[in-house]
Formats: sequence, structure tokens, C-alpha cells
Amino acid sequence: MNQRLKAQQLLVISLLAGMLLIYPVLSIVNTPRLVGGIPALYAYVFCVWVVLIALTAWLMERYYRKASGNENE
Amino acid sequence: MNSGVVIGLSFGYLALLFAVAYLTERRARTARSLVNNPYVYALSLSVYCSAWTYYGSVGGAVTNGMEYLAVYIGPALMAPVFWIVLRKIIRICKVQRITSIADFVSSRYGKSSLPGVMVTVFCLLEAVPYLALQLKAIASSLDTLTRVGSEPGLYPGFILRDTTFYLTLGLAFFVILFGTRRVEATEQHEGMVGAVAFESLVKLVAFLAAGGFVTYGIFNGFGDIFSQAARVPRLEQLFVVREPFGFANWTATIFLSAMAVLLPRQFQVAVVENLNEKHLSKAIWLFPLYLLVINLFVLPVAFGGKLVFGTSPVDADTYVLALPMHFGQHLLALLVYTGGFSAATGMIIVTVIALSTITSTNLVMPLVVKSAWLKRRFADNFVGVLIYSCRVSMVVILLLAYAYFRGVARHYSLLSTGLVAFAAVAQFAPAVLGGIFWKRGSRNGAVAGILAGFVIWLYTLVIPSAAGAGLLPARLTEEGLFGLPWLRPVALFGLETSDYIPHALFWSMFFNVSLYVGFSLFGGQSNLERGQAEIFVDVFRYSKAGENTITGRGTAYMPDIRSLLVQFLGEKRTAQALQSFYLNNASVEVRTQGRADARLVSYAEKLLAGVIGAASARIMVASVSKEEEIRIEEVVDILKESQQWIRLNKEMRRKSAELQRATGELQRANHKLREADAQKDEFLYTVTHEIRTPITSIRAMSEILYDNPGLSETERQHFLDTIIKETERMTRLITQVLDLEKYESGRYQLKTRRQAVDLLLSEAVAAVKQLIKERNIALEVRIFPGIPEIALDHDRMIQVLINLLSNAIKFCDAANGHITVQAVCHGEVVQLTVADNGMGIAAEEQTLIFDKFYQAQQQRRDKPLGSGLGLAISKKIVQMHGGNIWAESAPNQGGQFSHYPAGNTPFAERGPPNSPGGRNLLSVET
Amino acid sequence: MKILIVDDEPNIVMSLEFLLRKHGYEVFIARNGTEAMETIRREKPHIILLDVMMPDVDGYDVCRYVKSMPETSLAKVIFLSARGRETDIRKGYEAGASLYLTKPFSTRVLMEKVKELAVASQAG
Repeated sequence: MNQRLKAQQLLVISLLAGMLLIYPVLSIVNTPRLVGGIPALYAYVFCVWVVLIALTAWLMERYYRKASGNENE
Repeated sequence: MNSGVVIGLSFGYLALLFAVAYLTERRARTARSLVNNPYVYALSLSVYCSAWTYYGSVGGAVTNGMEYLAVYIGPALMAPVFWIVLRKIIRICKVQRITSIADFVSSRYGKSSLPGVMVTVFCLLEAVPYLALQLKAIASSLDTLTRVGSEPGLYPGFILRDTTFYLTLGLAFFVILFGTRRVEATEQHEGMVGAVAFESLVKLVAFLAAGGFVTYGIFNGFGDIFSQAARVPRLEQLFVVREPFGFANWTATIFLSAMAVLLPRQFQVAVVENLNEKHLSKAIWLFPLYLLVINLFVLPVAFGGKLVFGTSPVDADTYVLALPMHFGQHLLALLVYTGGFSAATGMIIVTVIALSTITSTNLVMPLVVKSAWLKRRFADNFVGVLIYSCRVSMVVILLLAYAYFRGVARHYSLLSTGLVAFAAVAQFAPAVLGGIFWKRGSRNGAVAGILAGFVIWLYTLVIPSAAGAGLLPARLTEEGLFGLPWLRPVALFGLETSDYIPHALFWSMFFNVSLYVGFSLFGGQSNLERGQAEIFVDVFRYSKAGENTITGRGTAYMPDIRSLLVQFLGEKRTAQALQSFYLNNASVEVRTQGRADARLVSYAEKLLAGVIGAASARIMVASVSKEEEIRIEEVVDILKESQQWIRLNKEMRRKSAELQRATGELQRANHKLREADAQKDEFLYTVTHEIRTPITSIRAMSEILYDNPGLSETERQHFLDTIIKETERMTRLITQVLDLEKYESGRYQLKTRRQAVDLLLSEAVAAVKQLIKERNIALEVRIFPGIPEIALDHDRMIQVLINLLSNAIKFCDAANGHITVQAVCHGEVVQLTVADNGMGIAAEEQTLIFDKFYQAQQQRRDKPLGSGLGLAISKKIVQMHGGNIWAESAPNQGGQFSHYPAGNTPFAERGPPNSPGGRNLLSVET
Repeated sequence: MKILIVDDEPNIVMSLEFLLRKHGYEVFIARNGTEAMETIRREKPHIILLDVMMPDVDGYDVCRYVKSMPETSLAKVIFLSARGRETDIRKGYEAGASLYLTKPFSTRVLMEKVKELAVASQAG
């Protein structure tokens, strides 16, 4: 896969997750309610976090299988 | 709990660390490295989770709820971007042999020592309290474990009876042992990395065990804890982000922790200790995963602790430990203690090693090389100065941290000191990030930005927290400096925010970035700065050339450069380094050793930079070479010119593709012609040279014979004999030149006919039989069955075989010569091998020996020699047969030449099979 | 009077050594640039007969080395080289040589020049 494209994809993942984890989005779930027995905010932050890791892993591992040569940009 | 057990466990664990480090280091040298994989790399990154995390997170969660998570969200968000930013930094550091964050800044901004010194000082200022924090965590966990009722436990009393003091000494011993073994700071500390990765595992397992116990042992799972907590208003408040902590603080903390990769310890494990860039691709998701997992149970433990202990005065920072103790789980408590001890010691070990490198290369070395007196004083023992300054700074840093812990640390909570340290290193961010993405970023900008950022950091963070702890008069924060309200450290210029951190972050970054950008945009750069900027920003383009990037053009002599290297690297390492340089630059370098090649000078500078830092290396190299201005600019100009040329070219091509193609063809043809012409010139020149040499001997000896009638008979005989030999040498040379010319010009037509390989071989062997007998060489001919007849030019192929055989005779072992001639068949391809047991052909010479007039190094030293054309002719002949000829050898293990004449089907090139004893091989494939 | 011969061609070395010894000079021999520099450091010869093309360090560098060291800077260097291009010769003189002879040279001329340089060197 194109290295430049991949760098951009990673950057987007990071920025998107960043936006989801700060004000104002965070204020939506900023309530003492429990979701499935867990505080909503806590559950939300961990969910975004898991998705962030999963996306990164998926992207990197897919790349790893596809190409293993050219590592320069 | 019995304090003897706890103390024994602490020192036992320390001993285990030594064992792990030792084992890793031993394995690292045997190529079955334990640390050369992405998993260990990710674990070593997790040194990020210090004791602050381990104990402090729970404390933080009890006071401010979600706040503690921000510190992990930051790096987790940053992790995908590591692949862009960190990979670039790693590449730069490998190419430029940079060993620390201070060296990085110094090298990027014109190899100037001032930025490096600044970064060093600030790192020390930031790190000592942070280290003290870890010692505090160890001390208070010891205290919690050994406390009986209200009786105080092992909390520090008199210094010599303080367990923490001895543990500090133990750690000092560890870092000296595994941190300063080698002089070159660029060399990785595999032992240390192994130990740290091991510690990351231990702390993860221990924390998960504690969290699991609290969540499922004491309570009934997550739901139970949270629903119980929801019924306590004081705890329910913690479910949400609230003022005074607030979103501003949350965002600021995320930002600060995202920059934490610039912490000296993170830089050390992430960049300096990185063994392979590829490890990043797994680490960028493994590292956030680690952070996530270790944080899963923080909130449950915090709420659980609060629910269990209620209002009793148990410090929330110790809940992880106190809960198992409270429920009588002593073994679990010991495991948890070990985990916390791991977190603290891991951080201490890496930080101290990183700081000592920074101090010795960016503080001590610039002093030594800049002061003429110090330089003279230590001239014979730079290596000693380096190692000792490194060791001394390790001990000093650890003792300072211990003193700080004893004197000051009790006034601060775990969390605040950590964030203050983060805010300090965040000040390097503009200079570092600007440095790798923005070529205009200048030294003055970096210096001004960092300095301003630090002044503000000191004023708005350190002063208020010191005042808050009662170490400074509170008047200062309440009324402002000189009683000026707009200078109040917590509300600078009247900016009121909810907390110190966002306030300090905003102002420090505002001034830092503005000054950095402002000075860079409105000021200039020196040539060296511009060159370094080019290399840093475009590292992926330049580093393709590997070590070859020329960063300067100095005139220096080999002996000077060599002795400089020996001073810092020692004789052995210098020899290895030079050898590897010549190996990588084989074809060009061999001849120009006398005056050091510009590439070599630049390579030497980089080697030195790995030992003493970029700025000092620059000074040392400049002291032995005459710099002719900085030439990187030229390199850059050439590069830019060629880029412009390519653009122009593209346009032209668009305008008239046809014309362009024609021009291109003409150009190519012209180029080819000129190249051929130059080659011919060079060839003629070499031939003349080769002929002049024997003529010189002949003339000299003839003149001697003529002018000295009184020579003895033996002398006369000797001279005459030599004259005849030299004449023969000349004749041979001329014949071969003519031969080669005939083959190369294509005038020679092969006269092929099919014939049996065994006959061919025995004919060739018969021709040299006499010589073999004279030299008492054992000859073995092995012809494998089933070899087909092949079409070849009999006379020419015999010529090739005889040439290979006479080389084998010439170079096989003098006393116990052994030559093997072998024919094997792989499908359609026939391979002939001539192997000897001589000293072999060095790997870098195995292709060169087929060049015209090339003579292997060894051969040049031991006359008599051939014309230097035999193998070139053989190669030409084999090529005319459509085959391939090559050499294989392990030096000092004999040489083997092999050979593949073939049938009339097309032949695939393939590696020759292992020959008897795996010796030297020169192969021909037709 | 110490004379150093630097050449990797044994037969040339042999003839020059024979002639120089016969004229009563003290002769040293080096087969390559590295050896040459070692011998120069150790023996500080007065005259050096120097080949240009050698496997390791080239003759020009050896010559510059001689001229750069204070204790040998007065030594006279004669280049004996098969390289006869004008640029080669100029490079030789620029490196500080007293004479550049192209191979094949006449040993008679060489001996004359050596004698002259020896006298000059003793006088200076």
C-alpha cells in the first residue's frame, strides 16, 4: 500500500479519536447514568479507545501482510 | 507484615533484574536476541507507566474521577501518529547517530551546543523531582506493607537505616553495570531493555491481579462496584467531568501526555533503543493496548477502596496495596508491591541512563572539547572521561533524587509532580516537531522558544506549586511579583483559568511557539543549520544513501582521522568501523585512503557523534580538518537544480513528446558513445601503465649490466633471468589485451560443437598436470553422472578452465595444496567448479576480480602476479556462451571458482551447491 | 644519507636498491603507502623515491604527509610513476616533490639527480 496514504489514514484515525475524546463531544456523555452497570463516560471513553486500537491494528497488520518491501517514502 | 520479608523481596527482585539483564545481553550477542522483536519494544515503551500510574492513578481517580485517564489517552491518541513522527525521528537518529533528545535538538539546529545544553539542564530540572517521586512511591509502599495498626512501618528514618536508600544504591549499581558498558551511546543497551520489558510485564500482571481481586474477590464485578458507588453522592460525582477539574484540564492533560514521548526516558526506549523501525508498526497499537489494559481496573479499585475504607485515613494512593492487606491477602499484596516496585525501578533505570547520556554528551563533553586546557589534560583518556562522567552523573542524579525525596517530595502528591514534568518536556515539542517538518526552523528560534517556554513554566507551574506546598511565601501567588496583579503566576496577564495546568500550558506554548516561529521567519540560518534542516526534514530521501550523506567537505588526512577515532572508540572498534565503511563503499574507496575521502570524514564525525554528541563531534573533527565552508549547501543546490531540471523536462515532454523522444535517444546514444570512449581511454591508459612497469625493470637492469662490468656471475645471471621473465610478462600481457579486444569487439565467432564435459575437464587438467605435480598439490576430479553433452567452443572453454586451474594452483595452500574440479548438472544447467584451499577471496572482491586489471589485495602483495586480465577474458568467453561465471569464498577458507557451461536451452542463473568444505568458488554457467 | 624506496614492484625495487647501495647510500624499502609512512616516521630519510599507484595509500598522499610533518618536511621526494599525464605530473609537484620521473626512466639520470639532491640536502 502507498506509504503516504497510510500515513494520512493513521493521522485521520488519531485526529478523529482525539475529537471524540474532548469537549464538546465528551459533554454529551458527561452524565452520572450507568450504561450496562458502568458509568456512561467511562464506558464511552473506553469504547472509543478500543476502536482506535482496533483500527490502527487492522490498518497496520493488513499492510504488513500486503507489502513487506519499500519502507521509504 | 514482616519487614525482613519485604526487604528481602525487594533486593531479591533487584537481583532477578540483574539476571534478566545479563541473560538478555548475552543472548543479544548470539543473534538469538530476546529483545529484537516488536513485543519487547512495545513493552519497553510501557516504561511510560511509572509508579505514578501504578499508585497515583487510583489516588487521582478518588479525587478527580476521570482525570487520571487523560494521561493515558494522550499517548494512545498519539500512537498512530508515531508511525509518522517517531519513525522519522528514529531514522534521523540512526543516520545521524543521535543519542538523546538534547543531542537531537543540538544536531538539528546547526550542531550548536547551546540548544543541547539548554535541553539538558531542563531535562535535569524536570527529571530529578520525577525520580524522587518514584523513590517516594517505593518508600510509602514499603511503609504500607510493614505498617502494623497505627505503628509506622518502614517509613524512612535515619538515612543509614532507610531501606529506600539502599535500594537507590542498588539501582545505581544496576545502571552503571548495564548502562555504561560501551562507550558509544548509540549502541543499544539490550540488557536494560530486557529488564525494563520484563518489569512492564510484572507490573501489568500485578495490577491486573489486584484489580481482579478487588472487582471479583471483594465485590461482585464491575456492575456491583459501580452501582454501590452510585448510591454514595461523594462517589457518584466522580462519574462525570466536573469543575474545578473541568474540560480545559482534561484537554490540556491529554495534550501534555501526548508530548510525553519527548521525556528523556521515552525518547531513550522509543528511539535510541529501537532495534528496527518495523517494530513500530506493531508497537503503535500494542502500546495503547497495554495502556488500556492496565487502566481497566483503576476506577473499580478507587471506588472499591473508598467503599471499603470510607473515611478512615488510608491514603488513596496506596489503595491497590492496602485493599489486599486489609483482606489478609498477603501474597497478593507482595505481588502488588513487586509490581509497584517494577514500575518505579523501570522508570528510574531508563531515566537515569538517558539523563547520564545527555549530561555526559551535552554538558560535560562540550566543556571538555571547548576548553583547550581540559582537552590537553584529558587527551589520552577521552574514553575514560566519557565513561566516568557518565557513571558519576548517574550516581549524582540518583543521590539528588534521593535528597529531593527526603527533603521536598513529601509536600507534593504523586500526580502534580508528574504533570509538571510533562509540561517541562512539552516545551521541546515546537523545536522538535518544527525541526523535522519545517526547514526554516532556526537555532535562534529554538533557543528563544525553549527558553521562554521554560521561564513561563517555572513561573506559572513551579512557583505556585512550591508556594502551595509552603516552600515559598504564598504572597507571591496571591499578589503577584512586585505586588503587580497582572504578574500573578496563576493568572498571568489577567488570564484566569480553572487550574494551573491549562494556564501554564497556554502561556508557555504561546510564547514558545511564537518566538520559535518568529525568530525563524524573520531571522536567518547558518549554512550548517540549513544543511542539517535539509537532512532532518528530508531524511527519507537522504538516508537511502545510508552513511554516504556528506555533511561537510573537509580536507583531513587519514592518520589524523584514525587517531581521533582511536581516541574515542579504541583501536579495535576503530578498525571494525573503518572496515565496515570500506566494505560498504568498496569500489570507490580502496585507493584513496591517504587523504581521507569527504564521505569518510563525514562518517567519522557521525561515529564520534554517537559517542560525544553532535556538537562536540563537530568541534573535534574540525580541529583536524581544514573545512572549506560547509558544502551541504552545494549538495542541496545540486539536488534542487536536478529537481528543477526534471520539472522543466516534464514540461518539455508534454509540449513535444516526439521531439523529446528523439532528443532523448540522441542523448543516450551520445552518452553511450562518450562513455565507451572514456572507457577505452581508461583501458589504454591502464594498459600503458601495465606495460611501462616491466619495461622499467628491463631498462634498469640492462643499464646496470651495461654500467657494471664487474658484476659477479650470479648477479649477472640473476639480472638477466629477471629481464627474460619481465619480457615474458609483457608478451603475455600484449597477447591477452589483443585477445580481449577481439572478444569485446565481437569479431570473434564461437566455433561451437557438442561435446562431453568429462573429456573437456580431463584435457584441461592434463595441461596443468606438470605444474600440479611440481607443487605437490592433491587434485580431485569429480564428475557427477548424467551430465549431457553441451555445445561449446572447445579451445576457448579450455582456455577458461586452464586459467581457473592456474589461479587455483597459484593460490592454493603452499604446503598442503588441494584442488577440486567438479562437474554437476542441475536440470539443463551444467555447473563446473574449480575449488582450492588457499586463503580465499574477500567478499567485496568477488565481483571485482573479474574486472580488467583488477588484482585481489592479497595478490598484489605477493608477487609474481598475472596480467590481471585472465579472469576478465574468462568472463567474456563464458558470457559469449550465454553463461555466467562467479566466485564464492569465505576468506581464509580457500577459493573456489565454478562454471556452468550449458546445453542449448536457455539457462537460469542459480546458486552453486555447497562444495566440499564450502570453500572458494568461482562459477561459470553457460 | 638515508634513502627510502617505495614501490610495489619487486624487480624495480631490486635494481634501485642495488644501484643506491653501490653508491654508498643507506637504503630502506617500503612496499606500500602504509609501510612507507611508518618507515618515514621511524627513519626520517633524506630522500624518498616514491611510486604513485599503490594498493593502499597513493604516493601523492605520502608526499603530502612527508611535507606536513615538521621533522621530515626537508626530505626530498622523487616520484617514479608510470602515470605520465600532465595532470599527474602537476599533482606531483604540487604535493611538494622535487622531481617527477615517468617510467620507464633512465637509472643514470636518476642517480645523477639523487646525487644532486643529496648534496643540496647536506648543504641545506
